Amino acid sequence: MKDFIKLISTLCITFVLSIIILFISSKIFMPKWIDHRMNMMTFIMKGFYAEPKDSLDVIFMGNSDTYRGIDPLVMYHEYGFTSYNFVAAGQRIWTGYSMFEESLKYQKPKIILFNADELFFTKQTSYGNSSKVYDNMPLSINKINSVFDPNYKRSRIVKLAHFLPIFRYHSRYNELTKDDLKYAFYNERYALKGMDMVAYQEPYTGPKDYMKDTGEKMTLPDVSIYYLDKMIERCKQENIEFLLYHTPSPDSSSYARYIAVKEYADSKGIIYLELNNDNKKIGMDWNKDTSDGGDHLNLYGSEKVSKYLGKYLVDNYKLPDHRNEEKYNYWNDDYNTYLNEREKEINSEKNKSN
Amino acid sequence: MSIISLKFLLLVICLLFIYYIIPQKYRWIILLLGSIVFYYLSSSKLIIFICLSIISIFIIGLKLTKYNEQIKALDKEQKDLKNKYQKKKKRILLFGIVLNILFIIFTKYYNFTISNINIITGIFNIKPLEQTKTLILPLGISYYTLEAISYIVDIYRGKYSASKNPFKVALFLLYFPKITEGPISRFDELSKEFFTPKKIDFNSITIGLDLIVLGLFKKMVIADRAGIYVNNVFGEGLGGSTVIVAIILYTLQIYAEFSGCIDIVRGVSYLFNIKLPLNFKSPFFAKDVQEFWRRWHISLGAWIKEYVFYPISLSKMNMKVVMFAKKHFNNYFYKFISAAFPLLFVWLVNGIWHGASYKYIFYGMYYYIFMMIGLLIEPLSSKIRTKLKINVHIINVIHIIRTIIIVIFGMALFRSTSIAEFFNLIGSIFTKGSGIYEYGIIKIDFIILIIGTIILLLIDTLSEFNKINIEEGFTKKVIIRSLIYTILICSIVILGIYGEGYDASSFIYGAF
Repeated sequence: MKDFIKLISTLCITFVLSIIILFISSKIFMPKWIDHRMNMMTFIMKGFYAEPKDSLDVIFMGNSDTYRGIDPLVMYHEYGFTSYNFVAAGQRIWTGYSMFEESLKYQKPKIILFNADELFFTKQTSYGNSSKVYDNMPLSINKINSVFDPNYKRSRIVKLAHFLPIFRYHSRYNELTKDDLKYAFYNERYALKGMDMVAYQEPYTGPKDYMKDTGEKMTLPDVSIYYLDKMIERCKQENIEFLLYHTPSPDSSSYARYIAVKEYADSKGIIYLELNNDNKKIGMDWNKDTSDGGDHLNLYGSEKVSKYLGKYLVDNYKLPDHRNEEKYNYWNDDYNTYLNEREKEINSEKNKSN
Repeated sequence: MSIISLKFLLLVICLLFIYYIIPQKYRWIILLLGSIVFYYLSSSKLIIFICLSIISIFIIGLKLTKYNEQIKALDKEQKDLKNKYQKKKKRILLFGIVLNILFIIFTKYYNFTISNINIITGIFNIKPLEQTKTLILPLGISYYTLEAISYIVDIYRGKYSASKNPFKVALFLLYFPKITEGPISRFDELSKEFFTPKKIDFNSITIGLDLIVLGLFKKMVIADRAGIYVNNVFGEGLGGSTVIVAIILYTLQIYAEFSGCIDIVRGVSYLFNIKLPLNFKSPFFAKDVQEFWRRWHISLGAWIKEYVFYPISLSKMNMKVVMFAKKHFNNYFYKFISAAFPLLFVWLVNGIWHGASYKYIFYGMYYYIFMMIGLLIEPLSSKIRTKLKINVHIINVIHIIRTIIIVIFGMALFRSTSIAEFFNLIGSIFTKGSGIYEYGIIKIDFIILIIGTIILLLIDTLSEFNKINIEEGFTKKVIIRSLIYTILICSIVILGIYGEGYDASSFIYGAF
């Protein structure tokens, strides 16, 4: 019995000490990417957790189409409601669902908008894309469920590394700097609210009527329907409006996709905003508003989309105007930061072309 | 399945759970089932080879026991009948040995055998036989073949009777922790451990965990880090200090890896309250090559001594050699020749066991030559020591350093792909080096390696002077043990060499 107690005590002490050390070292060893341009995903994740609890009116979910196409600070400046792009590059629906659940732990939004672009992708995204989401998620039941979701297919050691990222980043012992220690336990507010700002312009030269009916038929994959159903159900319970939307993107849009999503949305009685049908109303200029020939928008495009979508939201839903609320002064500060960043980005782009 | 994989960990946890909840007398069956699962998952269909070995030694063992009993039952006057049975016994034993050697020749040594046959047939212009592109390599064949031979030889010698249960023989050969890298065990030792009902022993489990954690640290922090540099330098035509460091690091790598693996193997066995024999005993404290091989891969040295050295020493042929030497040489050379003849076979077997090429035979001869030189000059060096009245401790230190140097170069030969590469490597030492920080590891890695080496040496030194006994665990104190575990586990996670693109399953000695 004495030996048994000794063994159990040893294992317990070792477990607790090791977890503490590995947790601390995980925080230190994770790359910090001090500039958001180097890794905006970590900024989006950490920035979301740094937003004051229950301070967001609208949450935009989705993939890169959203962080390049939605500008929460423009919406705030124009209409006064607060929003955040809680998104991930190359996001798949199961990761989208775990971020959706995660968002509701910290915020009580009035509206959640989910970008329909990712609904048609069912193959695994890159390890880097998913790890930046899960590595930065605090430990919770939702995180455990998300990492061990059968649709998220990774090796056991990779999944374990989402809880203790030291398993993945341990080889950084030879490149640690003072910043790794300085920013180890710090969730900094991301002034751009989940937006990736690029001024680069690469015109879209394809057909302008890319949304015309070509006779092609598509259906939503079962896996997307499964998670959408869960999100819609949860939003009903929480009294949150759940909308599907799709930002302008000739590269990833078609009439067939539009119809497939619309049929689903109609069947569930939810709104689907296919903004690719509203390019004229938005004022899209495909020579100037895209950064990569029609896949993603640049800051000029996202400003137009945000103004248009923001107006739709304030016109159709009761959204508060926080612009003169003292509690939300930091949004004005963030907007100023945004303007500075915008100017820097535009100048940098101009300098490049000169 | 690697013994440092999550799959292996899961297998061990499952087996432990079942092992300790069933009645003691049936626990060995769980070990057998676990071993079959492990072997099948590691080698799939090649399990057939070990099954053939098991069947062969089981039947031969029974036959030999039957003759042993018949011989025992004979009167002293029935000498003729006794001789007849002895001859039959010998024939059966030889058949068993040859059969098991044939299994290994037709698998691991196939190409080596064919190339040698072709050399001979080439003389007579006979069409050469074709070598295979994919060698069949059943897991642990070099280890279990020696164990299989030891089983039937021991029965032949009357050391014990054959087991009447084929599954018990199967467990002896298949036992999963030791199948990959040994230690090479004997049936009588292991059957005591396997088949004697034992209670759950938490102290044994604790010792097992000590060994597992230490083994993982040796393998993942020290051996694999040294391995990066070694792999980037060996065979790349580099020279000077770059090569010297590679040669030294390879010795460190192989020691940390092999002894680390054995620690894990023995640690896992301790979890089941099974004690496997030691395989390393502070080898770098050896004062000569003979002593080194009594401390390094102990179970192999012991096997060769028992089943090669003794039989050859007592053989008629050796007797003739000894008599001839006694007749024609003085006492000094007589003693030398008496040892030299059987030792030649010992080192031939040692060399060929390590691999199917002439390089390995040369590897065996390398140690044989140093051993013979040691024997030849011993009287002279003894005289010099007495005359100069050098302190015995200084002499010991000099001898230890000499042995380490011989071993380091021996390991370089072991690592080289051919004898020619080894000599090129030695030659390259005298050319200009190209630094040491550009071959996969940097300054901080060298610092980690130095600290790791100090830890290894500290453990070996304390063991050598009986200050600690790893067999009794690190310590009796819970807090100190917890701290040691925490340091080792965190070092493994943070400083261990693992991750994408790294093959954790490859152990150098696992290929034998």
